[in-house]
Amino acid sequence: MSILRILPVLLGVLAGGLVAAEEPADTPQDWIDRFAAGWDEAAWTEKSRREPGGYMREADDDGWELRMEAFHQLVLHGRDAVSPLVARLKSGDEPQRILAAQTLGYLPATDAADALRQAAREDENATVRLYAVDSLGMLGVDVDWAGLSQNESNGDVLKHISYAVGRDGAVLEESVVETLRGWSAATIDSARIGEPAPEFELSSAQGGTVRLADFHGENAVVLVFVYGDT
Amino acid sequence: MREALGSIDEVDAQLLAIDPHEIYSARAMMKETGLSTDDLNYPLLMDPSLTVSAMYGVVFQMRIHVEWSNRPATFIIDKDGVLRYAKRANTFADRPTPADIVSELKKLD
Repeated sequence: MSILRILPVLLGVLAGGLVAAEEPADTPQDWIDRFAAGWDEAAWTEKSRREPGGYMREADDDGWELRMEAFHQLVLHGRDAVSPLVARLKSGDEPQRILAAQTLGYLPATDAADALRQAAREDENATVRLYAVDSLGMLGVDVDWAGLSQNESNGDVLKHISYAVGRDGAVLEESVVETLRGWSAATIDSARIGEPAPEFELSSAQGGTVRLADFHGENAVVLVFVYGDT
Repeated sequence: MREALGSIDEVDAQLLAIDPHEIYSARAMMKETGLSTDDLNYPLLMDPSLTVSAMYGVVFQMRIHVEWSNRPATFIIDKDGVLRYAKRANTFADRPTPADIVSELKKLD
């Protein structure tokens, strides 16, 4: 179990950045359908986030691996995924529309701008509107942000509109998509106590990049996954 | 997070925060709390491709209101790069306290 989990990580590290993006598996449609089938709205609770289970999936819920895999595979498909995603954004069920709104910004799909603008304006689901806003910001296309704000009642979507405006036209950095395409899905959930921690290199909000390996032999590292400053 | 810093410094460890957003959102979120990223004494690392979050098994597990996010989680990696502690929280309140983290760090020696 452990060596099987760690082997792809080691191979990935040895090959460094030279690994070509893996070939996408199955069709974009297959991944959209799998994502939607695994959505399971009932697994969410409406509890406060201070209560156990509030806003979160249960610790043993493994549906997140499918959600990450679908997102990754659709980005690997790239242009081929645009038209199926636009179709589902317009007329799919909620999970399909959410996945489409979130993923189109990464493809990148400026030709999906009309569908994203419409979703941001009219979709009845706030998660769809929020991700449509994010994707429009990532694509750097023209949007009547003031008009969107005026019609929006959800506070989170309004915040994301302000984040998009704050980009001042900056599109999603190509390196983000390259990282996602080059990422090996075999490394998913590979952090195991007693084993080498998964290596990473990320850019810092304060400038420059930080690698976990920078601290090896120097300091222990406390790694905290945060949301904003929460 | 910020209060945790002083005590962690005492035990000679580096704090790294990972956020699943692009820098634009992270800056704006910090601003909402009246801060700039330069006010932080630790690196705030951006993982918009979600790949590091996926490797550490925290991605797509929580909704904050209407947005997907990472499950709040804390990991401790020793000087040799070995993972020694992992806590994937079930609520924001379920995270280890600074004292818990310091106590875990002291176990490393």
